[in-house]
Amino acid sequence: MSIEGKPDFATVWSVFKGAALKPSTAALTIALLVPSILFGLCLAFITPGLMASSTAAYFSSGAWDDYTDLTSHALAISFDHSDQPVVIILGASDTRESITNHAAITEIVHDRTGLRPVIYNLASSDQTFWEMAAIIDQIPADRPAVIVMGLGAGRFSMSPGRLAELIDNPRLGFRSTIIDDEAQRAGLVVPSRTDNYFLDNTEFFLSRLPQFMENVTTQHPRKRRYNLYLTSSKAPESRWQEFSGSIQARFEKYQVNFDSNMSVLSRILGRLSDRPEQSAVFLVPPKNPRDVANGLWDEFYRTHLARLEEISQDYDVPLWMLDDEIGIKEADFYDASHLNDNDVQYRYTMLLAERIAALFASTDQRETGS
Amino acid sequence: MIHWAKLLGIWVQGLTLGFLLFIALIELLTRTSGAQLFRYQGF
Repeated sequence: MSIEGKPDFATVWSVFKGAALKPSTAALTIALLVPSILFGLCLAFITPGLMASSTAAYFSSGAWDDYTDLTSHALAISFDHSDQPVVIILGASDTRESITNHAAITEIVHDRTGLRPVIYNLASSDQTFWEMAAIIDQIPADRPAVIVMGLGAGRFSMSPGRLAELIDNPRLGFRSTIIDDEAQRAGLVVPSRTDNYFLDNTEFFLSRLPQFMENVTTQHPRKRRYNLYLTSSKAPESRWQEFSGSIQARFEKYQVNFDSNMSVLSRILGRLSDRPEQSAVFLVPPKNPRDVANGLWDEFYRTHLARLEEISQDYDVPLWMLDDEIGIKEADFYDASHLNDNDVQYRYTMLLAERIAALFASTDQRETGS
Repeated sequence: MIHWAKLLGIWVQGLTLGFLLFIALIELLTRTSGAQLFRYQGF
């Protein structure tokens, strides 16, 4: 103690150290309160509304995290009950990489039809039909929409077991009754839902929590990128060899799983047929013309195209193949299916925009005529 | 001064343990639920 009754530093330090290191009821109470409060804040403030806003970017792990951005857009669509048309582009990374300029699509459609649709490129890594169905389900039923479904062969190769993975470890940050119904149909156990958004999507948020903490600390939310392969480099030969060696297995997987995936797609189309304001389109994603596995890759692609043509006729859904009109070359790709030439991506996007505009115009004519 | 030092010590202990507990809880939930980020590229 100092002479004037004012404690010296050593005394204060020893009191502080004693209180900080010695277990006490007060400290224990605070220790229990902290996680409870943090958890309570998550329950109260992490809502679909929050995720539909730009705040969702704080949960993103970066350029490759398609699903945080996709979740945010899908939820935003579900809240928007305006009658402004939307174009929803679904599919896998091959479709995602092909499209480059959303604003230009809107402008072309506006120029041709007078409509000004909002464009959402919601194609994402290895997207399944179940996820497509869940996204489509977020679109208000009476909102005019064109749903462009990028249907590469991989969409039909998904094993039915993927549904169980999506139930246990969902990639989308919202629950969908459609996915739950599909799971029940497949005989899977669907976890009970609590109607609390955070609790029902715990896996989605937990997996992103470290990233969230980092993003909040640095105040630097991460942006997803659409054209990830847009680099000057090309896939190494080793990747081609690996791809070439896997074609046979991929083709077999496609044959085995085609029917089960097709049944999910037919249910999606069935639901859409109840929505007169919305129409679906099949888009064949670009294919690298390089000869792989002695023509087997080409045979696989031709088989897939023939099947898509059949489905297109059976369900009366337009099938768009843009590769030939664009004049796609081997040099335009990073690998077998991902475009990485900005000029080609732009031409692809413009042609797609023209097709979308024509579809809007024909729908408009039908409605005017009826 | 002594009073404030003691109070600060309790809060430092409580907050540190609290955050550690929260992180441990999240880690436990993450591992038991198998939640993980999907980062693989599509076909």
